[in-house]
Amino acid sequence: MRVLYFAGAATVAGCDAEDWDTDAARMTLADFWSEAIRRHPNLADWSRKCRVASGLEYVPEGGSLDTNAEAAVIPPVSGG
Amino acid sequence: MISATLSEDRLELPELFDPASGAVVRFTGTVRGTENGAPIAALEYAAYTTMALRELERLLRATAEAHGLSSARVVHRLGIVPVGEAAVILEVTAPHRTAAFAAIQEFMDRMKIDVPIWKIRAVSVE
Repeated sequence: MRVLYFAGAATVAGCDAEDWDTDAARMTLADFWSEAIRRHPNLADWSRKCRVASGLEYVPEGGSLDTNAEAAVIPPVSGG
Repeated sequence: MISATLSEDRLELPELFDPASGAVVRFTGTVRGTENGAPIAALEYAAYTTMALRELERLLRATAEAHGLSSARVVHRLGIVPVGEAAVILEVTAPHRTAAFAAIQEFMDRMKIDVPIWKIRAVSVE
């Protein structure tokens, strides 16, 4: 699963993108954050303020990700 | 007509002419000369471009339907945007002005919550 990090999350993670090896077709949001924080411990605080997208759609609270789709960690946006 | 665009160039949006609409309302968001109280020369914007375009279009369609708009267009700039230049231009047309103004407000409020675009850096004055 391709995982993208944006804005402040990318700075904290120290990377813009990485690839995760996953066996299951889906991953819960909780498991996603567990893995992201395992890889980048400084993301622990960010899990409370970032949203996660899977296949260009926001994953709702308690939802799950399609591991065949691109995932993204989305910090609070600031366009406009 | 619904149109959402991202651009790294200076923003230009030719005026719409729509004989069915009594109101054409344009909002331009420009870069101010200060950020957190300090003078700046520019802001740098970045986006999750594929998702940003998708969310912008979705939001335009929802706003157009909710307010009975005839058309809605938005263009957002990416990269470095100097002070005084436009970071975003939103233009809507509607039969009457009340709907057009309300749509502009609603779109901008929602854009600042859902569309994955960020100000990633303020460029200091040299």
